[in-house]
Amino acid sequence: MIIKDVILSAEKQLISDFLQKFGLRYERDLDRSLYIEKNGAVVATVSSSKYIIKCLAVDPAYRNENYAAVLVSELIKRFHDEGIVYYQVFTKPEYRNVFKNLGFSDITETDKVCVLEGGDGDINSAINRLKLQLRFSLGTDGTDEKNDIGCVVVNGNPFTYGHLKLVEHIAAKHKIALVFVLEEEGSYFTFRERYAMAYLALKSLENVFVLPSTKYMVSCATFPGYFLKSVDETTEEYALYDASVFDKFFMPGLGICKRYVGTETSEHMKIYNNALKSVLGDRLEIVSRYAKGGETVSAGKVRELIGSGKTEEALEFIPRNNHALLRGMILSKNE
Amino acid sequence: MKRGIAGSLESNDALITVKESDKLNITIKSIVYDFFHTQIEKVIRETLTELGVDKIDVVCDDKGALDYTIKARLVTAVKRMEGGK
Repeated sequence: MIIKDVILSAEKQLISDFLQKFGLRYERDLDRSLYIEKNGAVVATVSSSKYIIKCLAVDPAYRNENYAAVLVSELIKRFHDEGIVYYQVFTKPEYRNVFKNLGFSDITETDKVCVLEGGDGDINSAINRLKLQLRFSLGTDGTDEKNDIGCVVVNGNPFTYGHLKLVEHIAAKHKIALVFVLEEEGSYFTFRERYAMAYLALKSLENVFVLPSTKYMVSCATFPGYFLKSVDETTEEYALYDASVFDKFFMPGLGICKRYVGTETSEHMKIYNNALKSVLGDRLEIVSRYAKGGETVSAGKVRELIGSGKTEEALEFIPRNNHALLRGMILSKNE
Repeated sequence: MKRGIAGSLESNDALITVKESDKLNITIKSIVYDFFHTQIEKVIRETLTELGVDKIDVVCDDKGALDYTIKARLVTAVKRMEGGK
């Protein structure tokens, strides 16, 4: 049996048509697809996007050939060749057992999607690592009942006055404020740069702690819409899934009692906020964006200014502590 | 960190992943776990002794492989780990 790689656009079309028969779509963010052909027709296929396995489908007439195992094994081998040792599966709840049988373990599921993970690492150990980090700096890991913890997830690309005001708002309301910085790359500033900016801007606030978001929060696995910056019919499903992971693991695991978000203007982020609201209810507070001189502050606007060379104007929206750091980063990016 | 992988998730095979570690750690997942996990662990331990490896992290995703399949997969995975970057 030969496993073929999808390279030509004609092949892509072939796979897309095949997937359609199963109510699946050839998603926009796929970067690799494999398939098996019998008598000139596609009988099984699987795809991946970074470390996420998606769009597995096998022709019902060939179900007893175990092509699912063949394709997933091949994919895992390719992952390892590229140094990817942790992977997730995004599938429908009815196919959950297929992957369970292939050694994957559950993260969580919503009505429409089911996510499993395999390889090195799992969500509970990721949460435990965060707990350890918290315990290290706080002397408690948040599981104390008397702890009163509010949190926010930011990309901080770059970290603006808007972010700062939101965090100050949380820090004033709660004993402890956690700020999760998105770990996923793919933004103008790298994770390290964004983490450094958040850390520096918030250093003077004693009850604020900056943590990495892990790949279980607004990552390309949980909410790819954030990085694609557009909306399609899957956006809401992903948003609900992202929200339920937060609800099931992060809130109880770290003792978080409230999550905060800023008001959003773009379509995909509105969907995200709505999904969070529907899952978290009262445990979510939407705070209106900070406006500086009548103009709302957004990192997107700041990036535009940086892009068009107006660094000084951009710096007006950046906390003073970060000016030197940001100047340096912009310089090094322009080199 | 050096890692190695060998095998597959097809029936009668096993997918074995190994990585460097400061202690011996064996994880077994199997469709016939209740019947054979002690036997699988025994094969893994014996093979590691033959290879002269005593500190390693082994994850075995077994799909009903026979002893010599597990042995062969493990030897390959360890060799790939040692030869790898």
